[in-house]
Amino acid sequence: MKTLLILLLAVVLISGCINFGGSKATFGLSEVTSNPDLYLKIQTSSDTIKSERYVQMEFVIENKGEAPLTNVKITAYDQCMFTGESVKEIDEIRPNRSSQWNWKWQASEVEFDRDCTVGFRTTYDTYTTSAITTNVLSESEYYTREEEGKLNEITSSESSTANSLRINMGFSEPQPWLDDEKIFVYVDYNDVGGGLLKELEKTNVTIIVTPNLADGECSSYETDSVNPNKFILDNPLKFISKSAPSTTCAFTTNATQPIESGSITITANYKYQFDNSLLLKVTPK
Amino acid sequence: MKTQYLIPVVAILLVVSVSGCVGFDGFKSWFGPTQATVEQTPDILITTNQRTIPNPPILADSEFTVMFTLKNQDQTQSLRNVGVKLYDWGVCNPVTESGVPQFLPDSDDWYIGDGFFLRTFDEFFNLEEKVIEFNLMAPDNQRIGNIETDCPVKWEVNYTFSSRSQDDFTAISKERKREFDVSGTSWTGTNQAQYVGIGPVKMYFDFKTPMPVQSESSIQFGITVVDKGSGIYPKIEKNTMFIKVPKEWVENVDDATTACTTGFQLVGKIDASSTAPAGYTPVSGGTGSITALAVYAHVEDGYVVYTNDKDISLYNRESSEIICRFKAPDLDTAGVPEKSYFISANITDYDYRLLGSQTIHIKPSV
Repeated sequence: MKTLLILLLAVVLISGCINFGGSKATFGLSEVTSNPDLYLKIQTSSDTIKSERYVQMEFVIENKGEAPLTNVKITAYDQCMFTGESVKEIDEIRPNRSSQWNWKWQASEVEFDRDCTVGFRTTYDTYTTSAITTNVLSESEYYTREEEGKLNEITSSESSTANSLRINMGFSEPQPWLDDEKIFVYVDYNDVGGGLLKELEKTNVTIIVTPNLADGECSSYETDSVNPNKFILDNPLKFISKSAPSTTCAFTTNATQPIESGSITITANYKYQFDNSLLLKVTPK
Repeated sequence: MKTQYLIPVVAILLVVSVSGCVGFDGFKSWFGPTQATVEQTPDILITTNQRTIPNPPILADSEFTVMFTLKNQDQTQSLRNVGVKLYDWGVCNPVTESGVPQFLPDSDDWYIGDGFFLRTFDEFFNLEEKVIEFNLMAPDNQRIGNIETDCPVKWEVNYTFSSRSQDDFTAISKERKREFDVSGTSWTGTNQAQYVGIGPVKMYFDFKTPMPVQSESSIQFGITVVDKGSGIYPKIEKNTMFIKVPKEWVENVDDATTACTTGFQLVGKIDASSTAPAGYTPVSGGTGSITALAVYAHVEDGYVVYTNDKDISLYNRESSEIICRFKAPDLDTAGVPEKSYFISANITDYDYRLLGSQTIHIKPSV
């Protein structure tokens, strides 16, 4: 009984929660902090605006990522009860740079207090690069190291641009690989931002491998006509629930020297969007 | 489960169901969606401190005063055309001097009609109070035949007021809907409370279409007019009720002229010209001989207006539901993911009547 009463009290205490996602709606301030590559803050001169009066909105947008953001466009798609400028376009925001501007909006005439939710959409183009080093050992080198227990001395490193698209690579066999073996590479695409990545468009993703991986082919990719080690996406990859279908690549390992090191580099250009809203109150004169 | 646990468990479920946690619909699915309403008081003009001096019973052939305070209890709005009419006093008589009734305030300003006395206040300011006094004379012993009797003193207070209600509705594009579906999320917007303004005559919106409505889908809502005051308001006079909707809602309906219940007509014009006159937007509609002509809706601040072209009666203090059907605009073509709209309704300058009475017991004098 006591436990149930405590449970009831706990439920009562949290029952007022708004936006169970964790952020409480605040009038006159909207901050987007959930994107790895972009920070947006919108703040108004006042959170309560009288009928037919003006409000100043200050925007700060910052590139927190490692790749430039291009064709940045912020649109107030739902101005609710306000009129004024609603589109801002910025050609490029380089990493660690920000842009700042103001809009002046006028409230419509109201006869009642109205809570207004102003809707914003931000879109931009950017890219992610993910690379991993690959090591193929000649047969003699591989077996020698295997006998000596030194295979794990050959290490592989991984690097990735920090932004909303995370590309992860996995392999059918742990590295290092033996020469002239069939190796499968699995590529996963995940949207780790707070917004929406709808799809990776055709030709916008490339996979480049070094000659230590030969005779490659990748699902949904076609081999570049000039460079046989380059693969270009030839079907859009659509994201559902923040992830796109994985790609599987098959290669034959190739070592022309005892340790043939190389890399797999995946570069994806994409358009990202996120929505946020700003709560304002309009009151009669 | 033991019965001793039943009450706490039910209590927890109830608390959860009414909690503000987004994403949990509580028991909505059981009882249907509910929408909050912010409603201002119906009582704007009230009468208080009603009394008779001296205290009844009143002796025959003596003066007495029936008095009360009239108060506009709204903090912001003044009232127009406030009238106080004394129309029944039974066997008692108003006290007059040189033909002027000894009523307050301003005895000279009381109009003497055929069987009534009327005092009109052009404007009754917000929070203003006025004491109304009717000085009356009880009948003499001869007239009442030395038998106790009653004087029914009756009056009416009327005033002119306007009523207004407002609600909001959100439409989302098909693309937006798809985005939610693809990302496994759902719309998190809120259905804001509808606002029902001050005054006895209230209008309530009831959206039949769940929010948010998808682009180009039907939007249907009802409006019911309810008299929540304590007075008399038998009908909505023709051309006094207005429903304002965003012009985007009428641009794609098959017949904008019949979008609301019969009895409501679109404020606009039917014109032979092929281009819309300034301040008008072309809409579909019209029947019979006017189909060959273009129908233009009058647009004011982005809204079109419907008005009642017939009186609407209130039965049991409530009108029948007025139904309107519109169509959400094509947000996809416009590239707008989501848009909130406001609709409003108002009844302008309606007359409201409050009845008051006091029965005065008269006793024969010794």
